[in-house]
Amino acid sequence: MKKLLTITAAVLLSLCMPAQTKVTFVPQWTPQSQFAGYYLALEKGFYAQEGLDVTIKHMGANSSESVCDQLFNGNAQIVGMQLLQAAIARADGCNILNVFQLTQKSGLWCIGHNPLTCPEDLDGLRIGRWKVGFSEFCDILEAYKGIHINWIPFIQGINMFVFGAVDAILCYNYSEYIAIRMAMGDIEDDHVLKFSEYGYDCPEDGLYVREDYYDGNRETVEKFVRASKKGWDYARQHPEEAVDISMRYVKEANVVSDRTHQKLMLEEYLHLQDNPATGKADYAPVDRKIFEEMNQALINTGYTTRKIDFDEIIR
Amino acid sequence: MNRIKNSFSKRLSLNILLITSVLIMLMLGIVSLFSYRIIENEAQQSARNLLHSTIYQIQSVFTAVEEDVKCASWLVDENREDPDYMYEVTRKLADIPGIVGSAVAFKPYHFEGKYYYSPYSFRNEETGNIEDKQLGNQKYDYFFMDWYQIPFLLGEPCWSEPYFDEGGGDYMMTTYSYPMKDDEGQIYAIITADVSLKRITELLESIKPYPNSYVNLVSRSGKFVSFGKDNALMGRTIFSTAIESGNKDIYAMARDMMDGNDGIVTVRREGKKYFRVYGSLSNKWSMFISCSYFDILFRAIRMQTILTIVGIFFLALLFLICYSVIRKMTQPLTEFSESAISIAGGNFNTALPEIKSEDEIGQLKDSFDHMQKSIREYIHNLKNTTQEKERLESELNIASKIQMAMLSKKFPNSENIELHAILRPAKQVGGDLYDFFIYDKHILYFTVGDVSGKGVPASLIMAITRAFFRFVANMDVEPDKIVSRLNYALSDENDSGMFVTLFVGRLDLSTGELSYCNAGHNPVVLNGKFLDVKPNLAVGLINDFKFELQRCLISKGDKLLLYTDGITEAERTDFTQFGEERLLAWVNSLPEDTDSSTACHDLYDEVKKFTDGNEQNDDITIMTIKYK
Repeated sequence: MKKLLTITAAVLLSLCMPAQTKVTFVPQWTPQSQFAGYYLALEKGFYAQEGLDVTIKHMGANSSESVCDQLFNGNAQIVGMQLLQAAIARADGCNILNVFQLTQKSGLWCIGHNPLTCPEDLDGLRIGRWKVGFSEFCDILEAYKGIHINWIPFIQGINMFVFGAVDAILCYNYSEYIAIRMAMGDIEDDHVLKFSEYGYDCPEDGLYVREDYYDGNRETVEKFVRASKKGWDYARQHPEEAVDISMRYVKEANVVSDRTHQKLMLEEYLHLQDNPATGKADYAPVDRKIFEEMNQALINTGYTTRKIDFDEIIR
Repeated sequence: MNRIKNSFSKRLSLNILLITSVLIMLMLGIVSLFSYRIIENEAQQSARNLLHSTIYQIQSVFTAVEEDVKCASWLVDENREDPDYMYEVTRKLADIPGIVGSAVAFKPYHFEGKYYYSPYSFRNEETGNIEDKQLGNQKYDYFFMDWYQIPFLLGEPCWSEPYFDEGGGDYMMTTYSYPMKDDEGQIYAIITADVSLKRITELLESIKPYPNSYVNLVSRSGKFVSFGKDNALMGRTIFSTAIESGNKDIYAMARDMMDGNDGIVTVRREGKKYFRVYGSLSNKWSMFISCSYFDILFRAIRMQTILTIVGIFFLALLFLICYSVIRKMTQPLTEFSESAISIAGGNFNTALPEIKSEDEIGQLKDSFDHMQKSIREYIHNLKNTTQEKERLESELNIASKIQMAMLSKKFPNSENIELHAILRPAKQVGGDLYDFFIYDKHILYFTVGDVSGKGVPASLIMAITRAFFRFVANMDVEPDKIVSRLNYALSDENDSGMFVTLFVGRLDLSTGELSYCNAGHNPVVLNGKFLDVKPNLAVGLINDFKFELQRCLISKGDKLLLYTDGITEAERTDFTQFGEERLLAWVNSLPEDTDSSTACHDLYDEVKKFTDGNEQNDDITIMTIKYK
């Protein structure tokens, strides 16, 4: 009798519950604590509380496809992209929208085997950069500084730098830079070139959706953003738990990494979320002025042929 | 505790036990220290040897693969225009034990129309057969794989980082990549040989020089090849563990190791001490062996523990043996103690324990025996001496009584004269004297004297002097004659050298005429002032000395005070003497109507009060005369 009552209650409850909206989210890289906020939003039920049935799929480390492709090949409704990449994609005709700007600063650095004092020192060097995206800045840099760099695209990470196959490597301070420290030990400060100190401090990671998806599922997108913010807030308050959950994703994907690496990554990544104006992580939308400067730089370097309107891409 | 305090044998045994324990502990400590040092050095050397032999084993695996690929490179170069032949090469390589897969990956369009061309042969683990496939597509763009890209950029062979290869295999592998160059030195292909790290990992995990020691191989980018228990080191690097440990020594070792150096370092981690020996391979990988000092020294510590337990047992045995032997040896001491108590109780004939040995105990017995005899003799002598002393004291008491009886006690107190005197000897018999008598009812002869010295000799002289005074004075002669005759009598054959100071007076009670002669005695006080007296010389020194007579007239009511130096020289403990000034002051403070007897006793009391209990060291004689 008791069993029958339990089954009846469960059936009634499931009938009363609204149907969960399925959403697939693809961050721009393999599992790591760079995406801890999203993992926590899923694990802690923040997405479910918003009525979303979220699946997180990662890009493969060896994949040659771009993350933007995931929106158009039907693999994802929401992806993580950098603002610069997204602007170029939009200019190229991909109707994508920025629905959430997470990081507020640039963590793009260049690490050399020899000291690097200014961007001009990069002239003539063989420098590794990501094959999949993140490297549009490099073209702008060359054009602005009038230098020539022998770019070496890589997929598998920092090994080419560790082996001395390149003179320098582009990296994010929360990711490859930490991986290099884990592989080679601490890097001398004068071997690190921080581009934000030379006028490049464009906000990076944000969430993007197809415009037509946004038009039809605006509420779903807003729910996803709201839950994601809760996830990041939780990560900020519980960094150890955030690292533990990230490590679970890392191990499930057979990604070679360790907890120390992921912990240091999360620390750096949370710093990038601080708003330079307020000093707090308040998830401020993209600044129109910075966007316009970036837009102009893309046109000046011929990277894009048309100017992208701020309101065209930023929601 | 009292039982220990009261037992010499227990205390001595405990002291021996304590000293022995300290010495044994010290010896064990020194031996342990040296043996630990030797064991540590041997363990380090042994670990070094093990490291080098293991490096050699692993190195030989890598070197064999390198040689195989190098041989295959000749075939590739010879047939570089024949794409199908490449499968022959890859199959040959994949068929070599130790190699699980092999590819010859050509650069884009090396063969016309073929962007990707990379024959890959691998051994099917299930069937054991060599199978082929083509690598390279949009999803597996091998031009950007480390195994292709890095040797391509470096232009030289290299071993890749350990990896889980999604395209080519399903387990941790490392790939040896060998760039093929054309006649112009341009790289047109990369020959690879995949080596499973499974066998190397198993080899590393099988090496256990000590229970908790571990051996590991670290790749060029610091990755651990063996993941250890529960895959704890999977995905970790030598630097990530060093950072996590927060130990600078571990970090410095990681740095030195990654620089391709050999070395040894001792580190402390979580309260435990380890050493690590490390060395490098030709492919810039490194290997280290970590050993806990506890493991190394475990056997030595166990041996030390056994030694300690056995040592404690033997020390307990030593205590019992010592106690038993010492107790037996010191048993005579207990008997001596009982004998001594008995002797102390007056049993001087108590038998001493029988000792036959000639050692210290035997000597002690002789000493005890001698002491017992000495005590017996001493007690015997003491008894005789005491009896003699008692006899002497008795005789002295009698002498004292005789001497006191010589002194006139019937003091005149008539209508014209009042006289009183007291004599207090310092010892039983004294050398002071006084005497007086009235001659022919109106002449008062009186004298006060002091014999040099004290005791019996002085008392004899005193008796002679007093008898002589009476004898001569009864002839009604002047005092100078009395003194002169006395002097003559005493100084004749005075071998003892004794002398007498003397004051002799003759008062005519009817006229008040006082004639007197002073023989070196203290001046007499008349009415609170010293009487003018010639000092002359003491009696008994020079037999023909001419003593001078003096005269004066005294009036009714005049008072004379005669005394010996026992008054003026009475001392306090601080050696302050009563003195003549204090004497005159006392005389002048006396009321006018004080009778002679009261005056005598008052003066004596005053002197006693002054000396404040200090022992009287001289005879005291006081005589007061009041002429009425």
